[in-house]
Amino acid sequence: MSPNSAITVADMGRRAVQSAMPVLLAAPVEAAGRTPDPIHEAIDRAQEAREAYAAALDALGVERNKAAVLVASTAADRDTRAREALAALRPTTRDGLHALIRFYAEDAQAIDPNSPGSEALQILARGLPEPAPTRRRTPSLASRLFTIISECVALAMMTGGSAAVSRLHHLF
Amino acid sequence: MILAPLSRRTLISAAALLGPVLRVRAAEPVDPIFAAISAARRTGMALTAALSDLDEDDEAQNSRANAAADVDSDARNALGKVQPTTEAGFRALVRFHAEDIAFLEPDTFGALALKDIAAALEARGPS
Repeated sequence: MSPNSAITVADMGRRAVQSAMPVLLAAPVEAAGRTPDPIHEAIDRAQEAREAYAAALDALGVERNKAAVLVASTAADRDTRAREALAALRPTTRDGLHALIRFYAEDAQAIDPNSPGSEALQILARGLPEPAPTRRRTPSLASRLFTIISECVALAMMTGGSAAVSRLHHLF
Repeated sequence: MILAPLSRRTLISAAALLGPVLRVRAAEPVDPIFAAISAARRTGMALTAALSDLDEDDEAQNSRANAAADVDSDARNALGKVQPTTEAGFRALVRFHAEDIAFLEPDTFGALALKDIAAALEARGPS
């Protein structure tokens, strides 16, 4: 097939999308908001862990004091655990599958924006329908606790409470 | 032989039943993603062939490899503009990207994420 015919295929695709709404994309997500898919929870945890890790890295600054390094290291461990938990799960609904694709596309854009893999993920994510508006992510109790304790750890280390800090650190 | 008249009758009745089914099938629009994926696969294979044992001092070979790279690039760009219109087309697109990126840049974040998505689709069973 010549490149011209490939472009014709692209034109056909555009027409198909415009005229006959894609079966996959037009169909409402199965049981969105009714059938819970554990992947949503795992994605939320991974997003929270990623945001906490990014914030901890930002807080490192140029000084890189011990407390900030400890917080960043703990956040990195938590991020790894959240990602491993996500990779171990399979979505049980189409809505969950779409959410997983969107999450990976967003993640790849942040981690490795110009790679072919990131580009492929963006292509897949662009073709998905808008996410169901019923879900609104709120930080979990664990996440809020993590933030509070991390800040306490940093504060205690700066004020010299290292023994208490190391005990707290073992909680993670 | 008994089978012959039986199969004629079976064929005639089956044809009557199949007629409407075939008409419905024929009326279904073909998902354009399949042709775009096939084009990208073909041009990718042609590029790989043009690059294998390439003698960089050979102008004709270089010219052929460059032409193959251009055609492959066009096919990939075209694929990026086509959206699947069926579940089967969507699955085929995910499989294509997962295999492609695993070949181009294995063990990267993108390759692992696409592998995960492809596995999730497989786990959902046939479309």
